[in-house]
Amino acid sequence: MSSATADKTAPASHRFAGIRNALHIITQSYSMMFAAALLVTVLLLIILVPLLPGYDPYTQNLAVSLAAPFENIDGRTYIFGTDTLGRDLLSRVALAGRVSLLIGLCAVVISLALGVFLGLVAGFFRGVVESIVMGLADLQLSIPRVLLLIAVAAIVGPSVVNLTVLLGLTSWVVYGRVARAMALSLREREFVLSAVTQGASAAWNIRKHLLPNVLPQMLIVGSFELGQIIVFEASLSYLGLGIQPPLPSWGMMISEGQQYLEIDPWIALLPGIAIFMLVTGVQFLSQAFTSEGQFDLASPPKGT
Amino acid sequence: MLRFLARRLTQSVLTVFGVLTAAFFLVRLAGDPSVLLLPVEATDKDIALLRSELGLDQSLPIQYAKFLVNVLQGDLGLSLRQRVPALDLVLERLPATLELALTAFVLGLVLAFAVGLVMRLTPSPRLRAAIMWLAFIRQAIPVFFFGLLMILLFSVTLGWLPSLGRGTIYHLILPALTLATYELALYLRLFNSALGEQQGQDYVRTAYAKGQTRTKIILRHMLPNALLPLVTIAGINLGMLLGSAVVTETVFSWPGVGRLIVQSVSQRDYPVVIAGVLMMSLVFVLINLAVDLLYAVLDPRVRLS
Repeated sequence: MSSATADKTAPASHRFAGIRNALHIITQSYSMMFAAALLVTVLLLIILVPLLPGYDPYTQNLAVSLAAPFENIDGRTYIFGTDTLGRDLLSRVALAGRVSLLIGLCAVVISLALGVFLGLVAGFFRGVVESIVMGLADLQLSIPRVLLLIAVAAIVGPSVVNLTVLLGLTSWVVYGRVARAMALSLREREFVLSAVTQGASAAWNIRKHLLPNVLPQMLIVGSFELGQIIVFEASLSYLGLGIQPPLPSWGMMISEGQQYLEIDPWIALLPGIAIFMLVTGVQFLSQAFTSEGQFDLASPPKGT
Repeated sequence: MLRFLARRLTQSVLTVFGVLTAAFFLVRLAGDPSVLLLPVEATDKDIALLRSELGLDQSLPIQYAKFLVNVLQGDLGLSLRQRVPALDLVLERLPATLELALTAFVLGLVLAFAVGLVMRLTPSPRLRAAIMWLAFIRQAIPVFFFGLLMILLFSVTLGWLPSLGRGTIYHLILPALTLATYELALYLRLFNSALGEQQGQDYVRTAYAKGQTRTKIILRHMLPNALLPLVTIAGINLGMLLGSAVVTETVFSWPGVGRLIVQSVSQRDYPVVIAGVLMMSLVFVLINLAVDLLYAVLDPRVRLS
């Protein structure tokens, strides 16, 4: 935990050592390379497909409904097939991926900012502030996260913005706990103590001394959380409480496809495989960064 | 032990109180229930009448106090749709949820235990790597998609097991396995690293030096020490399990609290949603309490800290 002392005067080659180490770890292991391949494939699909001609996630055409993958109808090949309304599944999976990834990234940024802020403030000031923040964290962990999301989503109503904010606000606890733990040890270090004795304000100390030291760790936690949040979003959408039509989402597509499992299982399978690829890729790679020994995800702090 | 018990109980009561408070404000956030309850053509007088009937014309602190008193008396309001107490609806569904969650919990632990030991005892590193790989892949599949894969394989393709509903033991197999395999994957990784940590300990080396067999050392000496982290994580993870159960119930049309909550959300039946979430949280708090007490029994150091 104490290994991450940000040294601003370090040469650039030093600063990117983490990334180079991670790349080294990835190329050393077959499973890492496999995960990286999964992630690159799904990212290419998400990014490139909407740029291709024939990209059309919305137009319904009952004449081509439930086409199988690679079925050619009227001179057009549907690589992923079509759904019940004859919409092109390749386009829909790609667009849903964009939405999912965007929501996931925004939610991670929100929760990271909130968690780091609350954690650092709690760890730096201690006392009442710390009790309140940690009490809030315990309280939130006492309700299973899916249930909390369902309850709040039910009440504020589902929309992309609500969903993003909600996922962000309910995911701060991990960052808060780790940031607080790090702040507790950092505040006793000489460089912080000397700044305090020279009259530096708490805000300055938190911003200049604590934040740069916890940020690398937080980004690692964030990369792991991204996978989790994508799964949460997909689960909510599967339950009909997340992304709303006409916008496609992987979760909703799986829920629709479940009704046609016997006729055309691909409607549900393809978006499911896409989630799997994205989540596996993201989580495996976040492990490549963690195996540097900076933050051990195998033993998360209690309650995460 | 008594002091530990008292402290832990206070904590649980505080948590339940916090959840109740959060629930109260959530319901207030939802807007005026009188608007939801009455038809569009209701006059202002009708609305005022209903508001005073529901106590909505009183100040917020008084409403809050009344809410707490009501909850303590087991009154969580009426279902907006079915006009019966929301709590009754939830309690009716609770056995199904507990049946599913507990089966999955026990199944997950037993499987993790068995597979984890096989993994430690087997001389083949290939088998070990393959198991860890499967565990990792299972963890990356969302529970609802894994459930769907189970349905596709065992119900649609093979036709061995029913894909939805509750009734016979066969109905329980697929949803319980869906949940249990997730637990299994998580426990396996932890169990493995916990056993691995014991590997280099002095007492293990001593046992080897005394000429004990590897199997005996693992079973008699390392296993008890590796159990503690497993119990902790299993307890912490129960929240995740209950949450996953909510989703799994929908996948398999399992008539539990989770499915009730999801259905009530789509019907905008907030009292039932809140009652369901409160009940699940209460179950979660109670289980966590039990796990902590178990942990204190297993490890005396916990009591003193």
